[in-house]
Amino acid sequence: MDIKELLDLVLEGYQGEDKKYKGIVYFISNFTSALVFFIIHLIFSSYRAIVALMFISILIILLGAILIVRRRKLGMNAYSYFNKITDEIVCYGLICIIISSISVFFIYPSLLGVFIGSTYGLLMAVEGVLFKSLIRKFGGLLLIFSTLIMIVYLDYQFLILGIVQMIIAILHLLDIKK
Amino acid sequence: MDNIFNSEVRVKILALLYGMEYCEYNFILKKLDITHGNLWSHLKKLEKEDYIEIKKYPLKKGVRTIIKITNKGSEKFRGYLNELMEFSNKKP
Repeated sequence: MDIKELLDLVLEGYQGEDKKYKGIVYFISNFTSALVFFIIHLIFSSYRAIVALMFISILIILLGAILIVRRRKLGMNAYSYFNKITDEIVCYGLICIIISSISVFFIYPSLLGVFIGSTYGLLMAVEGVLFKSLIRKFGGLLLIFSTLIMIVYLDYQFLILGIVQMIIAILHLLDIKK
Repeated sequence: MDNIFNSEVRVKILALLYGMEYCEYNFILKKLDITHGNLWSHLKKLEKEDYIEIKKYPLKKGVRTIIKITNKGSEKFRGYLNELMEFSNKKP
């Protein structure tokens, strides 16, 4: 066995991941967030039944979180060093999204969707690069580029974000079924 | 050099586990594409020498076997890799 083959195997270990688990988790999170963004669009566009719609959004988020936690309890078949790093990056990224969303909401509320889309897209693309995942890289880029359309159609930014998230969720679903 | 590194399969197992926190038995089986018996005998040898840890968790259907490289295993593999790199650099 030559040294290149050995180093390739080491890299494979670093990039090792439970593809099925990741696919399911990404599908759930993208699908539920797409539904929530559709509801936010409805709230912003009609200003009717706001409390009921907010309640449904929270229920959807809770449902998504429960499904992901249940899936995690079953265990992953591989947890690599890159997985560990990504978990930390995502954790800090989510803190960044939450805190910055609050700031953006108070200064430029009309740009909230644009901000969330680009930051989440960056996180997804970073994970795609680390694990050599075409879907995640493409999904991340799709989210980043969709912010350009959101700026043109500011009133529909959450609808666009929801549609893009739904596309990414479907791509993950197709990948699981492969 | 340690006699653990005399076998190509054992070197491959350690190389794969080196960058991982843990993985399931089937993950290694799939990646290395070897037979169940062959893999298990090499894993047992590595466990005996304290290079890896093997833990079993009962599930509703079957058993989940988790494999993890130990600190000793990581250090030894790093040493082996360094030796190999030095050797390949010295080659004319």
